[in-house]
Amino acid sequence: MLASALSLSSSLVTPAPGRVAPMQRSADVSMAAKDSVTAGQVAGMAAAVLAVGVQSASAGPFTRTDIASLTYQQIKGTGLANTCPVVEQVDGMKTEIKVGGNYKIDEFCLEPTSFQVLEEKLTKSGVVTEAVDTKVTTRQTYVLTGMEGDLVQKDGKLTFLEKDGIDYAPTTVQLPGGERVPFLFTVKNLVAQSDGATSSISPGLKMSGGFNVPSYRTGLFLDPKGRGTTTGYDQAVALPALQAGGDESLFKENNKKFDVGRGSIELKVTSVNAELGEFGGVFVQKQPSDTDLGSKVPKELLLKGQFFGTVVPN
Amino acid sequence: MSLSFLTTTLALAPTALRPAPLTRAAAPTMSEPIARREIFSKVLGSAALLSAAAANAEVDYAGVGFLGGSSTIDVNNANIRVYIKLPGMYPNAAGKLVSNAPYKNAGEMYSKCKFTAAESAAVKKYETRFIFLEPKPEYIIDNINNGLYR
Repeated sequence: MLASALSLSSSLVTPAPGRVAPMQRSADVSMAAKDSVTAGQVAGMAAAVLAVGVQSASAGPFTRTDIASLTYQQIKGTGLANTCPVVEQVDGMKTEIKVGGNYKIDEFCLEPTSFQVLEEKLTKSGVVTEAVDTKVTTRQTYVLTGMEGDLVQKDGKLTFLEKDGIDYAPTTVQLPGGERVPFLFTVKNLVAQSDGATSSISPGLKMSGGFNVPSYRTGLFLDPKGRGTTTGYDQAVALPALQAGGDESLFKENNKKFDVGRGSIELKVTSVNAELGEFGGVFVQKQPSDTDLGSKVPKELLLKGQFFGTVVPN
Repeated sequence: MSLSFLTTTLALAPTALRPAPLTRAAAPTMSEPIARREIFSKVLGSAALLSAAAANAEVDYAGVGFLGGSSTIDVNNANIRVYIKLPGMYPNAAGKLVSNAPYKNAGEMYSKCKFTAAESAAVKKYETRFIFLEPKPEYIIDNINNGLYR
């Protein structure tokens, strides 16, 4: 029977032919609609359920070769596309990738497993900033993948300059009180530098850097009163009496700005397969949320999760 | 008492204390509404904690005519579909132009884009119509797909 969305069993069901084994996923994220698989797809088969097990560390257990062996129909509806591959573990593999001159990082993937909003709370010891756990309301669409960029040496440090790929994902999380916080999960124009002087990627390498967070709404977006950034009105035309002055109270909504923020990310490599050029690890990322085209103060988000990438010559 | 004196001076000299904005449009606008907006934007600017480059609302962007409506094209901000009207440019040369934007001048355009011979010939044909205005983030982010399919 198709288990309900709230079943937290991490049972590994033997896959029926043509079906993907359900994954165990590290679960600080509880999704709104887990059972996105329609009844038709599981007709007669026991559970292609995405079991959200409360586990530590490991996310989707599939490597690139596993994923490459699956067909579209096997992946569709399982949530597998919203995961990053893991580094292929081979006995006796070399775990150091030497990065020479002309290299780039390809298939760079970021999969957050926990979303927290930094909230200011008034406590006995004053105003403290604490990370509040949230849940994602935009389902399984938040993973950044397919990113690529140059891997160069800058001041002796290994630097990754992100150029291209699916490097943004509009996501919304819900705070415990019910308030929703939309944000553009992104690493656009990331410049990640290693901590020390190095020219190879091996377990334990830490890289960190900043990136740009463009506005959640782009230029052509119109708000419910038809006001927008590069198009639309610049005042509340529905309130004609305010046109001659007196609409200062609406200034925040009338003045649409394309706000570009900055975020920061720290990556730590935990496993490397040098033959395949794969590396993977964990990351912690901080970025601002949506400012509603400049009319509200953004909240700060703290995301933690896994990442994956490959090193290929340019 | 001294505090109120300070706030009045702040209110009277908004331009001196405002964080440097992006270059404003050269379009003529009434000065009075601008002054009122400057005061409010300064007050709001302090609340925009995390913005690196917060653009104030540019109501009359002077470069809007060069986004494809006229024969002069602003290469730094125009969407790729603008080059469909120029035979020989779309999709290859236009794709390179748009992926490597922004540029300071035509020389940087050629060096960054690395056109092939045919693309280079096409770009040279229309080079006199290209200008290189200040790149705006709200146009650069939409320069490949801005959602308008016409």
